[in-house]
Amino acid sequence: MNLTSTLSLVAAVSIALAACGKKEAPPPPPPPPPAPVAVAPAPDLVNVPVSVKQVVLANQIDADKKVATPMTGFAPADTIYAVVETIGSGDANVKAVWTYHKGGKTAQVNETVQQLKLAGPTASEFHISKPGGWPAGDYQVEIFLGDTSVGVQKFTVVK
Amino acid sequence: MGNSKPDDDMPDFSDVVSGASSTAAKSEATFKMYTIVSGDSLSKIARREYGNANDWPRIFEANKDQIKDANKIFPGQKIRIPL
Repeated sequence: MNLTSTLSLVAAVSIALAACGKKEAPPPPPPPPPAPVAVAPAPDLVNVPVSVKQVVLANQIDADKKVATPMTGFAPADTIYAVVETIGSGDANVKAVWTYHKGGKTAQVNETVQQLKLAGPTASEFHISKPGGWPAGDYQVEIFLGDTSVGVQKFTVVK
Repeated sequence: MGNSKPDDDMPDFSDVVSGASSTAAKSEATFKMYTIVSGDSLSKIARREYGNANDWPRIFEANKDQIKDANKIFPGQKIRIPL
């Protein structure tokens, strides 16, 4: 090995050793913790006025007042449920007016009112039954919030 | 209980049984609306609705805003029957 080669080798080794000994840059400081963010309550839990989301009819409901199978046709022996799903909070009078319709005439079957204090999504059920069995024909249930009609569901009873 | 006007062409809904319940935070009251007909008395209504005529004060209390004297109710008067 000549002198030039030897010097080159020494220079290369020196550079390599210098690189190995180089101090690494300190790790970046951890990011500051995020500023606390106010978590908005679910819209249904704040002062949203009470409104009706939907009205569903069925001949049975579960313990949570949920309907598995909505129906519009019933048998004479059925208990008929109207489940009213509401959102919002506040005091509310929820009323169900059940009527029977025949040849342009209307007969009131039942009118029931629930006075409720609502705080978010709620299911309220109204039910009617008739020991002697429902006459076949056309019926409807109209739901009111206070005095305002908020939905009508028509249904039939078939023998 | 239905309380429609008697009509020969229309079925009788006077034996309809009703109820209601809710998942609401609080249920203040649940009641059925009933329109007084001739011959009614609070005790007669209580017997029909609750099976006991002696329960008439329950109806009276729920309607004190419009019934001042339990013996004075009138046909056409619409009252609340607590369920």
